[in-house]
Amino acid sequence: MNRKSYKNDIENSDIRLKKILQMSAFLSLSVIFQIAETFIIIPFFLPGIKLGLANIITIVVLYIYGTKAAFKIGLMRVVLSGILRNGLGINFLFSLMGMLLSVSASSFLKKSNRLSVVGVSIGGANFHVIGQIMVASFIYKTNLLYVSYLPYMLLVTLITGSVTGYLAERILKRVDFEIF
Amino acid sequence: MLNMILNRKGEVSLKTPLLGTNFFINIYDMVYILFIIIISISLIVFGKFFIDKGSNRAIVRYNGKEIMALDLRKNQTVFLLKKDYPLLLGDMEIEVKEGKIAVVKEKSPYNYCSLMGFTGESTRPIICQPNKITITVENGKESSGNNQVDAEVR
Repeated sequence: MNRKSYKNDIENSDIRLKKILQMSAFLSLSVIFQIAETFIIIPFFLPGIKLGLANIITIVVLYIYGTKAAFKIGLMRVVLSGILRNGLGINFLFSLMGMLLSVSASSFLKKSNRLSVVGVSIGGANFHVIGQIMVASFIYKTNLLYVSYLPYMLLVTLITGSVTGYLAERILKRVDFEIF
Repeated sequence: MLNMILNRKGEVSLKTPLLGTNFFINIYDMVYILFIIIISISLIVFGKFFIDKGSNRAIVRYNGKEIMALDLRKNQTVFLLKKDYPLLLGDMEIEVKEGKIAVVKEKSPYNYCSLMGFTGESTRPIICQPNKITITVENGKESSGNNQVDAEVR
């Protein structure tokens, strides 16, 4: 093995290690956010309204490491917070479906290169709600939720998605992830 | 208050005095937000046309299974007891008053379903997810469910 390829190997392993460490930090933060926000109760006639703080991490990971990493972090976050809180029951299904649609939509909107970070975050929040209502409609055997809850929830997510998107944009601008 | 200003790149600058900083959303974001607002308003208007004005009964389901049909024309209070429905987090009180129904007392982490208040509209079901109870308002002459209900009616 010559000296140049050895140096390259060392650099590659350093980059891989840095990525693993960063992803672990992101995962821990997203689990903490997901569990912490269940203690923030928004007294409103619509059940299940949350700020979606974990969405900040999903957006940051999506912009730094791409779609695959965002899916991995999202999936691990949903499973871990499910195990740590209520077990893998109906709440887990709500979170899982919401996360899958949210990351898919955010990724699609990001790839379109048209929307800003705030727009991508709003799209993710919208589809998170759509995913949850799809599960609820299936479980409770009613399609009425699409007209009774969805429009109001979509309007609320315009606000929550903007807030999380704004915070994600600030993090992406202020934190240098190359040296972090 | 948000002050909207178009900058040279065609981006909309939202000045946020509270945060003391600027952030950018572009014209495509604005179009997307407008699209979502239009969709939401359309769904709300669509829902209003689907409200069943002649709804006269409420179907109560426990864990996905219909357990009773309540006549909304008759004021009544129904108690679902934890001993009869083990998945409930505590005893539940359902009240029917002036053609509307509400869960007035229940035990759950955030009490969302009692927060919802009274509903007499088919598009506003009551969902008590932690207690596995759903209440939907429907129109029907007679109950299709099991009338041998294990509940106390007062």
